[in-house]
Amino acid sequence: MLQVSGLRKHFELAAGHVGKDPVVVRAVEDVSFAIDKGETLTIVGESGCGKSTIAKMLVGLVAPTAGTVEVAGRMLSPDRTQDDRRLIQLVSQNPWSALNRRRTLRHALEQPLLAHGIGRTKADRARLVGEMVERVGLTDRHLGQLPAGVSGGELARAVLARALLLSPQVLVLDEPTASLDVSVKATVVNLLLDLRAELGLSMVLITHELDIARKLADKSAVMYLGRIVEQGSGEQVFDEPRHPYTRMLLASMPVADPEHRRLPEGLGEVASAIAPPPGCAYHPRCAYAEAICGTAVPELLLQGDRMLACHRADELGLPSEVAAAHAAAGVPLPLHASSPADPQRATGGRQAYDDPSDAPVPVPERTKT
Amino acid sequence: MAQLSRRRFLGLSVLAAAAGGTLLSACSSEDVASRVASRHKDGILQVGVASAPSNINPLDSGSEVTRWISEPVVESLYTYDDSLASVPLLADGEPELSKDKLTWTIRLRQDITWQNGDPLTADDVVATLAHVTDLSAGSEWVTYFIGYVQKFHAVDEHTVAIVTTKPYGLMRSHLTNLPIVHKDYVASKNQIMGTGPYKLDSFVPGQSFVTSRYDGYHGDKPAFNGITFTVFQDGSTREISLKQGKIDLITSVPYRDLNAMKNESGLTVQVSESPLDILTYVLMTREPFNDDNFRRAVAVSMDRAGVVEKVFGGEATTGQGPIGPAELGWDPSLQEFPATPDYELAKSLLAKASTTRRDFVMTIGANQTSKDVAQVLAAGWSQIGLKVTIEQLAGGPWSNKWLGRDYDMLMNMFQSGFTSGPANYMTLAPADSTNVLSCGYHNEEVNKLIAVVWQTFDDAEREDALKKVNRILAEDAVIFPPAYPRLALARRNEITPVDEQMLRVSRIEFQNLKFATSG
Amino acid sequence: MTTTVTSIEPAPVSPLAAPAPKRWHRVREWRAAIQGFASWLGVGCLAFFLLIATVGRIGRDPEALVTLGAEAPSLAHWFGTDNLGRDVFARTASGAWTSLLISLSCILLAVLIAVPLGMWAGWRHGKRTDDIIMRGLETMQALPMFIFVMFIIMLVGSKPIDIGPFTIGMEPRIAVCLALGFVPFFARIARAGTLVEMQEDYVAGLQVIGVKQRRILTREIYVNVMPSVWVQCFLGIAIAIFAEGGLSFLGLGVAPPQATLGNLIAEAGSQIIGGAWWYAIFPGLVMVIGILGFNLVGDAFNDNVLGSRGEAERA
Repeated sequence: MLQVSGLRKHFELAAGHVGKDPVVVRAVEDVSFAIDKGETLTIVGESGCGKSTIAKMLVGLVAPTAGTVEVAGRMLSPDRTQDDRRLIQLVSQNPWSALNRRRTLRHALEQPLLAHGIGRTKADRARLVGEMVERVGLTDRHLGQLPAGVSGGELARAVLARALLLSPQVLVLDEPTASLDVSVKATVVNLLLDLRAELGLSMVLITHELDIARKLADKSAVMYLGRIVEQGSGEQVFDEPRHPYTRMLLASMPVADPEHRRLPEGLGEVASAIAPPPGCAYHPRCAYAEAICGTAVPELLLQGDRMLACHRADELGLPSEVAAAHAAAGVPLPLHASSPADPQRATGGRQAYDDPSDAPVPVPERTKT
Repeated sequence: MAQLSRRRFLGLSVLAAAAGGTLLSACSSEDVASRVASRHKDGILQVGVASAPSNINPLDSGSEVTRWISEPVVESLYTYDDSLASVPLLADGEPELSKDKLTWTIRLRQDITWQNGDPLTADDVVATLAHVTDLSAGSEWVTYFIGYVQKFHAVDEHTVAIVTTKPYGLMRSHLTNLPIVHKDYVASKNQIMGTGPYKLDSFVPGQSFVTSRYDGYHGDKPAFNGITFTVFQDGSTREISLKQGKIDLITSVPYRDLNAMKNESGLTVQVSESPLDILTYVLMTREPFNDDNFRRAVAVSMDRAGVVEKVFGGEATTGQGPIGPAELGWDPSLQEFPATPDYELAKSLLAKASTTRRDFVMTIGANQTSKDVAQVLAAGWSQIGLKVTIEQLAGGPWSNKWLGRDYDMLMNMFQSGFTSGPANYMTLAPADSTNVLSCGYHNEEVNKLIAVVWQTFDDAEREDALKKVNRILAEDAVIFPPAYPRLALARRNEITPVDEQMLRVSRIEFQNLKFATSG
Repeated sequence: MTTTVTSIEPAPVSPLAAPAPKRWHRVREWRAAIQGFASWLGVGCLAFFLLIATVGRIGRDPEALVTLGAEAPSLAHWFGTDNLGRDVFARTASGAWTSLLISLSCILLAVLIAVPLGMWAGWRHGKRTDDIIMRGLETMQALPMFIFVMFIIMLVGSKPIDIGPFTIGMEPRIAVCLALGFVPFFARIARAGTLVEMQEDYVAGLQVIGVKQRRILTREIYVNVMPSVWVQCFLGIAIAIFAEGGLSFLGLGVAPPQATLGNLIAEAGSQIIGGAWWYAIFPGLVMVIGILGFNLVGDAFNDNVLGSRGEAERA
């Protein structure tokens, strides 16, 4: 359904001094992945690793330096046509700023219809908007409101509804829940699960929230400084991580029990994207780094069941070893050992999420009062 | 922008404070008197004038703005005596006229020296005449000589001959008013070299002019060590400075303050009939003033009494024809128009008019008096349904309208004493259909009479012709000014009065003023 | 980049007022703006000024000569009469009206020209169009605004211009000239506002949806740029009343006998000397009250509607 190959984005920063060459920031370097219909790929990584740039390139907000994006067999041009746009839609980070603060939700939801000439008459459009609003769990009453008049959860639903009005094949979600309250997050995640099942949507979920990523992932990619370091199925990446960085990420997830808390095996801060370290960008933080890691950039290669970019993949990669390491470190195993065999996921049924406020049509939330 | 406005508010408050201060200082007039007395120890007369010329050459301009400042510096071949008869000054006796009345031979006095020490010679007079008859020099005097003066030359070192194309009786008047300037300075715009009792030492354009006594003066020894002219454009500032004793004499007292000023102690307001005209012309070559009935309607509904009372505080005479009470040809018996407007007559005249226009533009000069006059008249004319648009223009653009014959009604204040003495010959120019300034009026009799005025050597004949022209122009409603204002100036009582007879020819004669002996 | 919502308090929506029409939000915003003594004082001043300028003119002829000469204030002539015998109250009212008309039309015209220009420049930020527009505006601003306006008026001249059956008098010309002077001022506000809005996520969102750029600019960004422009309009009107006064003071204003606050005060300045204090005091007072009113109300809207955001956009 979605085929991305060799995606690359270099930004040029103006030179500090006249005569100096401009500094090139390699925000995204040679990223490729593919997802099928109804599948979800989650891209995880720390802030500044290039996740959001990928999202922007996917939806055409940023033109890639190199690489192609193909949806449903159609190659999308860098200057997106209206037809290109209908195939792939974005749900942006912050619902509070995703909609014009001086326009009603109705106005916002009519925009995709007007832009693409969907619905001939006003009444047609009102009907389409009304249906979509209902589908995401809002009511007509919300449509007359300004964004400031509704809650964050409702806004997130409205943003989602707007993207869905174009019936896209692929939905790119850039940190869809990052700025929401915990209780609201759950309802939004459940809504996404519903929609995926209902509409057979393919999704690219970009997030730094690992629990959400794990919850939704069919496939997962882990990024570090513009490159994918590990890519595989959700279970492989989250349950049996092999790349040292993936392990560090999972290990750094907040742990409720203070007795089980320990420092992750990585060291220090994320390196600068402007002047990345030579060789493997992760090597200054890596506990397993060797001489070669400082000189050669490891390629993303199929290593057994998944893709890995690590010089020591062979030595560190054993799943059993990882599990043992996890146990030794006191890091809890993933929340749910959701396997492909999970009957609920497989049938697209509603999956209970550990949250009491989970309801199909939530009462209006007051996130800010 | 805010800055300017702020300054304006500041200005206003300063003005208010000054007004308050004046009231206070009026209570203590003795302080003012002692201040004046101590100031006078330097022997300098301080004069406050309303505006300053950009070009101080007295040969270029006959306006009082230039001439009041140059009056003590320059002299002319002839001058006015106490009865305003023309008598020799730089000339040595009466001019000698050839039998055909075309050649004038003028002998010069030999005891005259310029303020730089050079002796006065015939070359100086020739240079002066050459300048004012040179079209490219841009002198206002050119209109007084062109067409009449054919040539002039120095007969000997102290004799000048002027040859005219036709008899030119009016030239005596011109030679009585035209200043004679040193031959090296005739074209100078920033220096004056004259033979008068005071010499111009320095000046700051637009601000002040400093003269000092010329010890080599041929006449009576000057009374002051010097005369300083300071420009106060704002009438009130001028008045306050006089009241506070900072200056001794001011020109152009704003008419609306005349009565208040008359009541001030320590000051004297001098008001005199003067060749001060409200030039009023209508263009008769186009609608609506080409219509006789329209013109008469406008003339009879002119609020003359309103202008006299409200604008000039009563110090003016009701207007009729172009010639006023201080001017040659004045005819008090001419009462063509009522003082208070006759709106009924005007309406019936308008009803008879063939033009359907009921509006016109009144183009006035950029001074408060013109503006006040225009507003009073416009308010009056609105009573008979005439819509008057007032357009206020600076001197240059105003003159261009006149020369370009692009106006409905033109109006401005004009003082003619420095060019025409006790008359205003230029006022009549637009009535002459052959003149470049013609307003479109065509009357052979008027043309002939004006020619007589310029050519005759007989003053009685000239006066008679002027009277006739005046009457015709009033009766035909061609030139009908609303009023003949009087000249008003104010002086501190610490100096002697200005000669009222001389004010009739616009002269203040600073050189003849003195500090009054206290008593 | 994502601090947008912080300054705008979401108004609590009661379920009853649920399908609140758009206008209500605005009314609420504006009503909320009038808070505090200074604001109410501003509203009072503004009301007084508008009352004088409108109701005050009814049935009075500002050009009629009603008394013989200047008379002090009395029951018949509340503000006295001037030296030509005209009622100063009638002249003040008519002057306030003229000044108001000139200022209002000047600001409207300036906004009409400046906002599209400024928004266009903001949209093309960093590109040639932006460069050309901004350099152009900077050239206009090279001269102090007042000098610039004077210069334009000198160029245009003061004689009535006839275009077919219409005669363009001095008032529209002053309005147009002042408006030109205000264009850089409003264009900058519009450009700054557009730049800020362009960074907002919703703009990117609309682009992804496929909304045309022009439509984003005119339908979406526009509504967010205008509030700060409107608020500045109040201050602009105050400045315009001032400026018109200044021009009239310098004799570049409307032709006599038409009164404006500026030329009334200009003439009054030299009349105070005769003891006729009422000439200057009353028109001056009305002008000050009007300017104060527009300023205070504008400030109130600025502080309370736009909040700190308004500050940022003006900077």
